[in-house]
Parts: sequence; structure tokens; C-alpha cells
Amino acid sequence: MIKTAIIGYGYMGEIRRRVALEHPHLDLQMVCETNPDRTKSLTDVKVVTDPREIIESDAELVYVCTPNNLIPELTIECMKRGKHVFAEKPPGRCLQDILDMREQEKASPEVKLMFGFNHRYHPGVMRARSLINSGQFGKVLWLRGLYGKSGGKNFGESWRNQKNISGGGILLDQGIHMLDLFNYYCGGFDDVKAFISNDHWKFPVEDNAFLILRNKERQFATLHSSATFWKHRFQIDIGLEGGYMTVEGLLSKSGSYGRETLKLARKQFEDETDAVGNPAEEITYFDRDLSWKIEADKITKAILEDKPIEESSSEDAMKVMQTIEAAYKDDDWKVELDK
Amino acid sequence: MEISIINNNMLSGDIKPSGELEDYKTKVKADIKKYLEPALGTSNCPTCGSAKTSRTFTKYEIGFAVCADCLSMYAKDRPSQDALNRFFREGEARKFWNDKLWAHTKDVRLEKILLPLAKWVDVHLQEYCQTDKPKVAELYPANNGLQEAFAKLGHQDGFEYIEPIFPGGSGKEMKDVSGAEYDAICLMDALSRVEKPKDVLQWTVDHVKPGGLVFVTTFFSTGIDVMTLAENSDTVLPPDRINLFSYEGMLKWVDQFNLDAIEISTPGVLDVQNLQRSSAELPEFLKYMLRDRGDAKLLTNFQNFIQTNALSSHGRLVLQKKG
Repeated sequence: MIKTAIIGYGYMGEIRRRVALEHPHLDLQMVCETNPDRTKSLTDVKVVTDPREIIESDAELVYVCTPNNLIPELTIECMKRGKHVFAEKPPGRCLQDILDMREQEKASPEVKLMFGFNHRYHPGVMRARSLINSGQFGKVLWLRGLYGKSGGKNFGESWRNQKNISGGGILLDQGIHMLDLFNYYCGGFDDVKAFISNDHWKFPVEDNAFLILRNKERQFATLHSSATFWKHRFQIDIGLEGGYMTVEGLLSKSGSYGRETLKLARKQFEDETDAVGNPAEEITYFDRDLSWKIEADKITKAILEDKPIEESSSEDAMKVMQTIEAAYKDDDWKVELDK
Repeated sequence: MEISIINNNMLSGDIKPSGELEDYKTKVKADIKKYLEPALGTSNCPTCGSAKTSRTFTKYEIGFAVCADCLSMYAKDRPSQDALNRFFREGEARKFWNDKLWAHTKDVRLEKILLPLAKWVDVHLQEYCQTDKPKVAELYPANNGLQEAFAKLGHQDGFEYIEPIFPGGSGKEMKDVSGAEYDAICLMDALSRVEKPKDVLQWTVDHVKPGGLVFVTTFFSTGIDVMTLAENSDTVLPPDRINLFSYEGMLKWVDQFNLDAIEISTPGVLDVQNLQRSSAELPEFLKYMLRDRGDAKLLTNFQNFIQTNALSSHGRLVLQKKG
């Protein structure tokens, strides 16, 4: 059993706790949360308010589920003491944060560091990847991602819109998942063009981001990441040599992103003069989300078998932060953060 | 759990040309008389074991019943497995099927049925299998099974495909597989055509590794064409289909065998066509919708509705052995 602790008991901390309690290899011992209202119902685990108590404890694995500005320092301090860390995304507020964490990771080769790029393990996303990897559809030509939400009634009060806590807006908070999926499907992207805006909500962070990406294999991707989608939307279209796929909807607690489906079809013609433009589609609906468990399985397996983290690694985290920073830079979007 | 919807523009006549189908049926009737009638026993519902029936009918001299408890449809006059093996190995109907019907429709069947099945198996093996070279077996397949389709996927080196095996059977097809364990076992239409489907499923579960997969295609008595047409449905075709499970009955089996249901779909594409083509009288509304109106878009939408809501008579399941 791996002695486990959680720092930060908000939305994500609750999920990680639930998964840890059900996991055969995790022994959840402590939860740290500064807001006592959030932890008053917890009776089966030791509750503390100072993260140092966890950092100094004998916990072997720590879930860092705090706001972005706290993630780097907590992660680094845990790793210094030989603790494995699972940190939520984004990996800090800026590229330098993940670079600092990677430096500590290198100095602590015995620890495992994994990040919460959970969307990789959604069933529709994984199925698309299996199909891509099977080679049945040929090479990926392009990707198109739409990911956005409406914000909501008290959007302005969320820490996610306070730049010194979050480091950025919707692109960093949510679009990062889509950028990670782009890398998941295509390995990475080298060139970035972007338009970034906060025209609607007028917070100091972006509420819309439009990106175009390209890599050396001449695969292209576009992303619209938005906090002004009045209908919540998750959709990734994948164009391949031999057909296309669309993952639409996302299994979630609220269900607001719609039922998770994978639609796919094969190209039905060779000669353009015979173009039909409406190939027969196969649709798969997914009703079971095992993504949280899969993440726990992956870090647990890496710890128990002393294997490297191969997915949702710090390198994956660094790649998406490089893209985000390049996007901000391309549109001269300034996010100046207090240290 | 996954539910799959398929649109493959397949026509019933593509895989069962009507002239040859009628010839085949004539030979089936003759072979039933020769091989099965002398070896008929009586059976309770093979799905739930109940003796209560809500209706009975006869098809090709074999008595069928609909279970009053679970709605499965089954041959109450039940041929022994030995008799079934002889029917499938020696009968004129099977010879006609292989030499004529299969031979004339092989390309379409490969493209529209077998290759998609092989890809379906393949993609799930990729996601769920722990090994790079999974051992895959097939039980009681129709024709030559999926071997050719897997070969077309280029998996000769990719995984170990075990030739069809007949547990508890006899004759040269029997392979000594005692103690063998597989990463996946395919039961493509197998459970519909065996004397004791529950035993076959038990054997399958016993010989799949923990975490391994069971792929099932089967026929549901709760599918629209079977429920509407019953003995007039070509889906009810002894002895290939002497067990048509209800959707709910199959769900209970998944539970009883302690399996995880990764997918339960009814992605059949021919229900609406079967209803349209049948000479049987349809309920008024269905007749109006399918024959009188017969609008192509309506028919497609209706078939999609049937698929989406697990109401087709053609079902497929991906089950995972726990542990």
C-alpha cells in the first residue's frame, strides 16, 4: 500500500480522495485544506490546514490539488523529500514553473511526477487513439479542437480569473487539455499562431483563444478555447488519410458537455470525380468514465514497479506550456505575474 | 459502457440473395429431418432455466418457445450437440452454404461483416490487452471464422489466432486445449447455434485470462424484427439460431458470470429491411411507416433509433473477465 496524502480539497481534491479510497494500492492518510468548511465532513482521514504537515510526513505519494500558483512550490518541496507527486494541471502559472519542477525531478530521480491531463483517459479519446495507432485510417492530417464553457454566474470571483493565482485564463485552464490531446495524437507541434482576447468578460486573463499549430511532419491543428460558449462544448475532429473521427461530448459530473461519443467514417472514394461527401458513419456512445481510476492506476504502477511515467509526464506538461507561452507571445498577450 | 451505431449501406440481398436463400432453406429443412429430428430432446429456457412459456410455434418442424420470464426465444425441441455438429459438418445445407451462398457473397460479407468484426476485436485488444501478442481463439464460428479477416488486417505476426475449437465436441475439429488460457475468445454467433449456450459461455470464461476479453455476436429475441415477425422472421432460422436471448437475459448472464460489460450494442442494420421484405402482416403503424410511407430518410432514422436503443435483433458484446 502506498501512503497517500492530498493537498487541496476543492473539486479535484474530492475526486482524488474518492479514487484513492477505492484503489487497492493507495492508503489515504491525510488531507490538507485551509478552508475548514470543505473538510468538516471528513472523518476517515487526518485533516490538517498546513501543507507542511504533509510535506514533513511519511506520505509516499502526494496529490497536489491546489490553485496554480501553489503547485510548483508544493511539488518541488515534496520531491525534495523523496515523495512522489501527482499534480493537477496546469503545471503552475507559466513555462518557468514547469521547468523548475523538472529541474527538481531530475535532481530526485527516485520520485515519480505525473500531471492531471485526465482527458487522455476518457473513453472516446482513448478509442480514437487506438484507432489511429491501429493504422486502419492512415496518418493524421489535421486536428480541430473546440473546448469551452460559459463561465457562469460568479465567474469573476473564481481564482481562475485572477492572474496572479491562475497565470492565465481559459486557454491555460481548459484549452490546455485540448493542446495536450493534440500532442497525444500527433506527438507535438512546433509552430504557433494565435489570437488571444478578453473582450467579453474583461478580466485580466483571456476569455477566448484561437490557435493554429503546425509540426515538422506537416500535421496541422486549430483550437478555439473559450469562456463564451453559452452551450458547453468539447469536440475534437481528427482528419486522417483514410477517413475521419470526431470525439464529441465529455463524461463529467454535471453532464453539461453532452454524452461522450466517437463518430468515425472511412473515406469512400479514390477518384475525386466520384466524390460523395457523405460517408457511412459509425457512432459509439460511451457511458462509463474510468479516467480518474486510470490515472491512479498509472502512477501506482509506476511507483510499485519503479517504471518511468510515460504519459502525462513532466515532459508532456512542458510541451503544452511551451505552446501556450508561444501563443501568448505570438499575439503579444502580456500576462505579468507577481512573484 | 459503449453502445455502437453502424451505418454501412448494406442491403439484405447483398449477403442473402433471395433465390439462393430459398434453396438454402429447402436444404436446411431436409437436413433437420435427417440429422436433428432423430436427436431432439426437450429444453427449458437456456437463458434463465424457466419452463414457463408465453407462446410457442414451430419452424422447420422444430418447436420454439418464448420464455414467459425473460422473453428469450429458443428451440424447445432441442437437438443434441453431436447432432448439431453432424448437421454443420455433413449436411447438404452447409455444403450449399459454403459452395454457393457463401462463395457468391464472400466479398461483400468480408467487407461489410467480417472485416469490421475483426477491426472491432482488434481495437479492443489494443485498448484492453496487456500483451503485445494476444492469444485469440474462436469457438463455433460460422464458415471459417475471422481468420481471413484478421489476416487482411495484417496480423499474422501481430497475434496468435487459434483455429476454431469445439469444446466437448468430437471429430477431427476437436483440439486439445485443456489448460489453455487465452487473452480473448470470440463467440461470433456461436451461442445461438449450440445446444447448451450457458456451458459454452462457462467454458469461455474459464479459459480466458483475468482481464481478458470475450467477444460475442448474437441474436436478440427483443429485436424489433424478431418480436414483430417471430417465426416469419429470417432471423429465426434453425438450427443456426436456436437460441435468441433477450437483451435483459443477456445482461443477467453478464452479471452471473461476473463479467464487466465494456460494450453492449445492437448495431444491426437489417431490421427495417427485414420488416419491409417480409410477407407477413405487420401491425398497422409499422406497415404505414415502413411500407406505405417508405421514405428513405425515415427508414434510416428508424434503423438508427433501433440501434441506439438496443432494439435491433443483432447484438454484440465485449465482456471482460474481472480480476
